Amino acid sequence: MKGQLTVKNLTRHYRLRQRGNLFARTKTLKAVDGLTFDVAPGEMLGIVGESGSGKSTTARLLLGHISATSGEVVFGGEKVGAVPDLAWRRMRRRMQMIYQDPLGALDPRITIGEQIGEPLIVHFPDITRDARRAKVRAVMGNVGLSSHHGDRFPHELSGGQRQRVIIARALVMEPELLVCDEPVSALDVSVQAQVLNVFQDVRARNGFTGVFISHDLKVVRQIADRVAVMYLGRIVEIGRPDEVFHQPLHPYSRALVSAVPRKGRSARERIILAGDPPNPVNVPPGCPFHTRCPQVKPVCRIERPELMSEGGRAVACHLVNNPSTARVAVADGEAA
Amino acid sequence: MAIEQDGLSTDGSVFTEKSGLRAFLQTWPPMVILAIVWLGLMVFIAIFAPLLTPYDFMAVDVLARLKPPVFFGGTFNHVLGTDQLGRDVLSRAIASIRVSITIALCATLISTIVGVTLGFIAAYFRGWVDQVVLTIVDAQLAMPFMIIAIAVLAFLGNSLPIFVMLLGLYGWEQVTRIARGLAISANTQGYAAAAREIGASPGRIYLRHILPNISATIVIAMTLNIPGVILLESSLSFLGIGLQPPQTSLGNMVGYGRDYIQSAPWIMLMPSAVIVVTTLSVSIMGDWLRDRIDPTVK
Amino acid sequence: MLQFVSTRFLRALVTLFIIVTFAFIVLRLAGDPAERFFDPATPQEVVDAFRHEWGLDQPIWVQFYRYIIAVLHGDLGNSMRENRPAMETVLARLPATLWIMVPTLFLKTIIGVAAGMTAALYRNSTFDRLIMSASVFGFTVPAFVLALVLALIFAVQLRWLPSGGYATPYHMILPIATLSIAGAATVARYTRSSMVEVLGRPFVRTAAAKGVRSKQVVTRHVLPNAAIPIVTVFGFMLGNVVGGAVVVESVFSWPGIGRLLVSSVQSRDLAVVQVILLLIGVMMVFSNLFIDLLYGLIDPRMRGGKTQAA
Repeated sequence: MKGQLTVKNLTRHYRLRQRGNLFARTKTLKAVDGLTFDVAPGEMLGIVGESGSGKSTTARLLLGHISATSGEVVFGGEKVGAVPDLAWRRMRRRMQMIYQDPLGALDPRITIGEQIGEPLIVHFPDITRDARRAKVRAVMGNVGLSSHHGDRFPHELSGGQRQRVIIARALVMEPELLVCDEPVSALDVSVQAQVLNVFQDVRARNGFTGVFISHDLKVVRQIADRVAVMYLGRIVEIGRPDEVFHQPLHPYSRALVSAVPRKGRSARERIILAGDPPNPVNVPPGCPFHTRCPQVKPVCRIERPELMSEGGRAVACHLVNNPSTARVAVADGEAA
Repeated sequence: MAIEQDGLSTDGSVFTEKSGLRAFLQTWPPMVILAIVWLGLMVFIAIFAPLLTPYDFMAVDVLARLKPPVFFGGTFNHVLGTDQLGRDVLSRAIASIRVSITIALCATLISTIVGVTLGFIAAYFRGWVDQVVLTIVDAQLAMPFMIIAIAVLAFLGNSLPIFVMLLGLYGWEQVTRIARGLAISANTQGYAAAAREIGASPGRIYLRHILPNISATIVIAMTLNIPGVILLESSLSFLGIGLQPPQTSLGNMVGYGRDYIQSAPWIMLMPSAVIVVTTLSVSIMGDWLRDRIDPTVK
Repeated sequence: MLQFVSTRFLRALVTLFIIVTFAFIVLRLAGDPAERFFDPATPQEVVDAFRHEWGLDQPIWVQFYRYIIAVLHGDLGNSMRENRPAMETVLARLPATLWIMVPTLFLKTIIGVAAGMTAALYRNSTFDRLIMSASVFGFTVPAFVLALVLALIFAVQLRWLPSGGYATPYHMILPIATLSIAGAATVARYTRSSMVEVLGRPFVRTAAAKGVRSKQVVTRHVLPNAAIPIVTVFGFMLGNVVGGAVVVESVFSWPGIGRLLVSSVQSRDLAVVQVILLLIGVMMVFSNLFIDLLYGLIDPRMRGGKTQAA
């Protein structure tokens, strides 16, 4: 189906080799560990999580920048491969990415106008110069850049303008999927709002499917139709933003949400998690969050909770999914 | 709304203005200016050599053998004297400059093309291709190029095309290392990754995006390579295994002049001086370019 | 450490293999030896017999295999001019070359390191500027020009030293001086820049701030760290000395390998050229291996870590 993104059991493991010994010991870092989700055509999925949770790896897997260890990504009925061959390059016409660092993603030696028009040169070499220019001007107008910006070089623009250039370049092909990896984190708060408005404008006009990755809950709440919370390479909770942000079910989501300052809530209500997230090389057995969970139960240390969905909302937590087992396990634990 | 600002310069700058001349000399040190002027002269001579030579550089005049330069007992007929066959040293020097400069530039161009191509290939394929390229680079670094050049000339015989191609291999490994390193770092972050993301072909990424961005560094590496090529060419020609007569080059002139070191040292001193000043100028200019444009090379 | 040594050893072997292969390719590119050896009037049977005897009718990889076996036995054909194994001809000239190369390596290292260190410790002094300007000349003046100028001054004009030959220790002075001056300049430059870099590092400044005496700072902290780049230059300079020796031996009629190489090229005595090529290759590879291992001793970080290309 057009514009439908399906992710099945996606994992990406990195093998770390420790040098020094004759017999090098290998350890596995599970950056992304079994993701399964769908994004409906035209839907915007937000992914939140702290650094190291595998958000960016997910973005790169979705676009086929790196190969998956197992599992697959299917977009619009086609499997996304990770070998940059002709088919892969063709697929770029339909899926595009927006980066965190707009200056780094722009070629310092080429004018803005040419860079926005470059995808057209690559994918439609037959298009005339004038038609290309007209298209570039139109897209620049859509993202709020004036046409005189076209002759400028990246370093002559402000951060917000650069990010608009990146958006314009991604949109010039009218992609069906847009993956945004922290697109506004590097911007000032005031500029963030402008760029997000541009996003919503363009989405209202073109209606692309989107995956929006950010550590900033407020930004995600503003833009996403659905939110997934990631912890150590897994989704721990997924649901509509108002549900997830107002009644978080997973203890980790609760801690995340409580960290956002809000009027009328005292700072003391904040749930402060103990310690850092465990090293992803040594993910603890059982629930990956049990080392920091304020409501940890003995079963959490043994059995890994599955993501169970109920009415469009899914949570991976024993406490939520089968409170009885959790309670029984507690009893067992106490008896033992 | 004039606000008085005591103690600040009128334009509000916290930097003290330099006087015009000092600022000029800071950016353009006198040595650099001299070097550029000299190199300009050399290029001028290389282009217009046939119009500048007072005599045919091969014209033999047995009646005027071993004439000293003017002010050393010679006449203005032969400003820099004549050699053992009565050929005008100035004319030969001009013809030699043309040959030596042309060879040096061609060879450097070849080595840059070879180096950038191999560097890009290594950076694009990585894996075992990269390892092979690096191993050849290592092997090249392990062998003195002079020895390789002599051996190749011995086996393949000497002709101008072979000679230029051979010199064109001098210094390729430096360019390869630089191009490879820069391409890899461009690939992992930023604009090259972005170009890949819009679906650009590898050719487009490397030639349209990476090459223009690393060109400044490559040009500096090229400039720093030129003195080496000049030295190599003149050394081989000096030994009599480089450029063969009747062709003439600066090293060639020194080589034949060395037999007359006692009776007619000018034959050998004049081209020696040209070689030294030219290589000196190129390296002064190369260092200056590097410091100004890209201090990270080497 | 064992892994470090073995990878370095492996790399040295690979480099040697490349050099041998290179020699083989160049040899084959030079043309069919049978055609070079016989004039066109020779009957075809004779040529064929010659080819069969030397294995030239075999596939190229068989020829390559035989070539490598021959190289391993040191059997590289006869010198045309002297009509004895080329290896013997070359080895006979080796001592003369070593007589100028070994003193040169010592001299330029000592002079270069001393000058570079002094320049770095008294940065921007007159001495520093003098050393740095002199060092620029050191690598822009070709060896043959320097050699001829020295000969012109000390042999022709002053008549203090002989201008060429191989008889007394006096004959060694000019060749060694020529090679040492150019080499010392480059060593001084590298020493200075690596010293300056180390002197600016935080741990050196910390040591100085703690009140460690400056002499101790230099010997305990700066020198061990600056030694690494200096050792690299040493390997690089060895190649320069070998290249320079060819020129200098020719200028001063020094009967070493370099002069033999030039005269063999001129008389197209290919067996000798090939032996010299391989000999220098072996020498360079093993000295580079030695320097690599030296690195491992000086810098503990190099032992396990990934290696960069040179």
